[in-house]
Amino acid sequence: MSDVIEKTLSLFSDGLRGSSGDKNAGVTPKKLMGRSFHGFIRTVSRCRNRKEEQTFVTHELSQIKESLSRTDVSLDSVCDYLCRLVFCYMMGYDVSFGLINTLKLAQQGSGLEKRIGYVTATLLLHRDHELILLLMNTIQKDLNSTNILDNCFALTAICHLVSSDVGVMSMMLPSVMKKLEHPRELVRMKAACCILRYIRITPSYQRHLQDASRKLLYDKDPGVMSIGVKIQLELLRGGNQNSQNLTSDLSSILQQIMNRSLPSSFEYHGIPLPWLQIDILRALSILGRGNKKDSEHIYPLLKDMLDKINMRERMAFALMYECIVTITSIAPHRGLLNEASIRVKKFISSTSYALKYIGVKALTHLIAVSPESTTDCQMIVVELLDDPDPAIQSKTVDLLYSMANESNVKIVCSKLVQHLDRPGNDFTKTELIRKIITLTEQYRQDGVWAFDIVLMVLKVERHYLPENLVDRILNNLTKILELPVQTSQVPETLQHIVKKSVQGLFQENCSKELVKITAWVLSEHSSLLKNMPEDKIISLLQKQFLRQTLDTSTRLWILSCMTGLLCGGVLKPGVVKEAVKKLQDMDTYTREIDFTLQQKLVECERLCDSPVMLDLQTRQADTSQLDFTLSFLDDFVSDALEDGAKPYIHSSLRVPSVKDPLFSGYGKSRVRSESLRSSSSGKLTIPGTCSKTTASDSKNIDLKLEGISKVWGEEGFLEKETKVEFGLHSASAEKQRELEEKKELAAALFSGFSSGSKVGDEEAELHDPWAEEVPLTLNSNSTDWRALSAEESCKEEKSDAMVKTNSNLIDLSEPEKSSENLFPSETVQSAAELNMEVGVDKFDLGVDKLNLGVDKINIGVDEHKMGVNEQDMGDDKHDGNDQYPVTQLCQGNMEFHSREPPPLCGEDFSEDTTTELKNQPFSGSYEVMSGDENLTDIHESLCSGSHLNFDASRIKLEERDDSGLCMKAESSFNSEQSDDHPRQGEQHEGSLYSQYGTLSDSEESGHSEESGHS
Amino acid sequence: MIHFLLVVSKQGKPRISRFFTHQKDQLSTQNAVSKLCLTDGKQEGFVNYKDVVLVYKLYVNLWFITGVSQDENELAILELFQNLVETLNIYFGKVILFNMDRVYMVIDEMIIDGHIAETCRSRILVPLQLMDSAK
Repeated sequence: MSDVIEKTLSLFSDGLRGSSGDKNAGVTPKKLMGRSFHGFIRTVSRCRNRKEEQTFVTHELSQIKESLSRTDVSLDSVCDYLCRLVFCYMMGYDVSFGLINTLKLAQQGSGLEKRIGYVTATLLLHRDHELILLLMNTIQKDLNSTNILDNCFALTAICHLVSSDVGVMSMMLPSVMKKLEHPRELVRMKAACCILRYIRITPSYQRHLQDASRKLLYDKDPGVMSIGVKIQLELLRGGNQNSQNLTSDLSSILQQIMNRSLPSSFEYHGIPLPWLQIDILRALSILGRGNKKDSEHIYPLLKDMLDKINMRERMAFALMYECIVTITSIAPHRGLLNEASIRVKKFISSTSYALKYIGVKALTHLIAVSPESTTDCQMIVVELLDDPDPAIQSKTVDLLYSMANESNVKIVCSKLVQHLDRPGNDFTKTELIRKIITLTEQYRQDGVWAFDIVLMVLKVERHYLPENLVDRILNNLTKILELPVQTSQVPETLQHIVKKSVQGLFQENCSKELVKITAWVLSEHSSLLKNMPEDKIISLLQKQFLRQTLDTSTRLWILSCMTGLLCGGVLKPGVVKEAVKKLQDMDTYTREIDFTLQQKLVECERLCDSPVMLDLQTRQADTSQLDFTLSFLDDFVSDALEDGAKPYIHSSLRVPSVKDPLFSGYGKSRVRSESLRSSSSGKLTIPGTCSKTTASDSKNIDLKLEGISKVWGEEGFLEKETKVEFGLHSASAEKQRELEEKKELAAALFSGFSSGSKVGDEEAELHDPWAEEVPLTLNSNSTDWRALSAEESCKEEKSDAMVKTNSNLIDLSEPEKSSENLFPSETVQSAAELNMEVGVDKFDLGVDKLNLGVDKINIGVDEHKMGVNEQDMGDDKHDGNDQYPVTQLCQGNMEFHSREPPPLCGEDFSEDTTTELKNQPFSGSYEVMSGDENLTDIHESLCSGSHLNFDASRIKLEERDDSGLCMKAESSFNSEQSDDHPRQGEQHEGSLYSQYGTLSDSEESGHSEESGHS
Repeated sequence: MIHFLLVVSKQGKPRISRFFTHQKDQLSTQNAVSKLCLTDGKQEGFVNYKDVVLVYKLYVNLWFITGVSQDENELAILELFQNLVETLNIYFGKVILFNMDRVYMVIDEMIIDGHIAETCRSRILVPLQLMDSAK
């Protein structure tokens, strides 16, 4: 009863509020949802608890059920009811009774009702639902309708609901294919989406649909073309080989988009079709992978893109990320990789959360291709390890994983293990453990270390371990023990492993996987346990056996370990028998009888009594019968020698050919990295060998790196350290220590791929990377040192300038550095940079500084995309000269897509020719550049202009973050409208609508407009 | 690839829920996902959930949440939210909750089968406007 009252009340109050709602409705001339749906949602959200909501919703559902079953119900109210059903379904109620009504509505309704029918059907049904077949008929009928809206509805439904059932698909396919030729782009686009789905869910159709989908790429409508690109991307991902000319076609499409050949309505925040650009970049990255010839097509394009990207919008950063990923996945190009690393560094040192996140992702890609170009990011990476945000942390873990090589794998692993103990969800932890284990498998040369890591991971009970973990570890262990190492080392590794296993068993709460592994180790290498007292071993095993948390299979492992020790002669039958008896008793007392266990226990007991055992014991004790001279092999050896085999030389007499297989990782830098490694690993293992208690387990792996700086003894670094310490208080001295530790960590992490790989050893000493690092890191850690670091950076810049005198271009590194220090100056500087042409010399700088004040004002006043407007204005002027409306220009230009291959001629489009000209010297210089060092300098300074824009846009972005975002979205939209529409929007917007309109044909109208102008 | 798109109220109640890939237990995914994002404590961010990355952002009093595959560009997804919100703003003005069906229609125009299909704001709204004018 109270429900009814509440409902009527809510309806009533709704009616009152409805008047204000109507005013809003006046702004948007549409008939919005029925009033009763409002009331329904209001009441639901007003419910105070789950129970109240439940009673209300079930009551409502029964009412809806009743009304739907009536025959005189109007289509309007059916729409309303179905919307309520969707809402209830979303909240988790059963609405299956309404399914048939959704299908009915889709069949009977027209226009809006039909659409609602389809929408609710796609929401409530899924592709394997049995009622789908009923809908198929309706879809088929609507596909053949002459109304384009009906066609669109049906095609959308296909996109959502068609399953991989071949019968249904082949029934639909012919009509869908026919729609690909439809005159309206709206229909063509939806049909293309269907093709995309077909290709995705049934790969066997790929061959059949290949030609049709290729044609979509040359469609004159950008929307259809973008779906065409998606289809190509999907085909490429599926390993499709037939991709003739695809690289050049996609590149030319991308080129045209970048040159703003499209009308401005396709722009999102000033960037034309950004998502399409991303798709094309992805496709190109697949095409260029390992394909030098195709990659050469892409290089100039990527270079152009990196330079052109207007870093003021978040979308631009997304594009930049995609660009970097593409650079890393195609055939490597040194210049581009350097560019990418500069940008990645900017990303990860950003203060914005999202940018930092995406930067770490980009760095992960980059580091896999060119480890040495990332050396100047080391300190930032070390900082990122302790980033408070879990998402960034998890990405950093990925980064560490992809960074691992022979020389730093121990540190990487220890860091990963540290991350394991931080809070996080189970899925990521499982993934993390899998990564750690994979690393121990890949770098198993040091068996002791690999086993220690495994012990660390399994030290505590974890419920999220990956499957078949035990098998993987044991597999790895056997391989470690098989490794061909010098004879004297084998027992050492083995001894260590056995010792650690025993220690592992001492722990009360170790995971059951650990118990299994240690049990296996002990029984396999029982001979090493000879000098351990029997009663200790047996009591250890007993204790583990009786742990309440262990399951049957783990107990079985322990039992088989006991049997193994018995057979190995470590334990005497009498002792084992006694223990087994005890276990049997305990087992029956404490819990239900497990018959498998009981049987095993009895087996073990019997084995103790059997005469075979006694025999085995006595035989092993008798060593006099063994032939240590191996005389029985004499015949075999002499035969082999006769056949031309080399005679045996004792290992100590052999000449070592390959010094150590460990360090074959990073090419020429071998000597350097080896010395690094020996210093760090020496420090690492010392505490491990000294301490023998279990407690030292963790310390063994942990970083003990204090000694490293002494070992390195580099002049620059140490000097600066002392200088700093003079001027600072004791508190900041501690900070310095921290910083130093971090630096050492960075050194250890990046030891595999220092920048010294290119230069020789002496040169590396002179060009010490740490000395350069200092000002930057000081700056990032504490504000107190700002003055000092600025002083130092000044000195540095001077020396830098000295170095770079041979190139007569301006050194842009100076403003770059200062921009990192101070924010206000950054805006000024980068504003100046906006005006600066790429490659201007020193004289131009002066001129630009004159403009500087003006620019600054502009930025202050108008925060909306100044550069974009300028660009638009430029376009406009150009258009005005030609006396063409924008749409026609675009139409003319987009027709290039329909030709094969699309040419880049710029007769009616002067922008094209200019970029062509710009590109010419680039592609030329690329060929030279790969060899010449000097030119890469020029190259760098050419590009640094664009990454200064980056900073300005960062500020912009932060501004955007601070002010309420939604408001911002609205206002920016409004301003965009007010900016664009008076100039070019109206005319062109109108013609765009007419393209979709039911009345006029787009091509005809375009034609008539053109003739009107001429 | 986008697996699902959710719009959740500030209190964590679902408002819009669109799954592009069929999942056995949509409801529990929906609840777990919105809980994860709401407790993350940021205006926008990324969270790992099973094999998908959750990208979320708070607009006034609505959380927009998507689950995307690992190789997706998260920044571009955040911008997709922005685009969606701007488009909805053009079409509705303010209230989107009470026009659930239209919101689904807009989403269906923008994201088809987990792929970002149409991003041009004026073109997204063409079918809806056609439909409204036909009435």
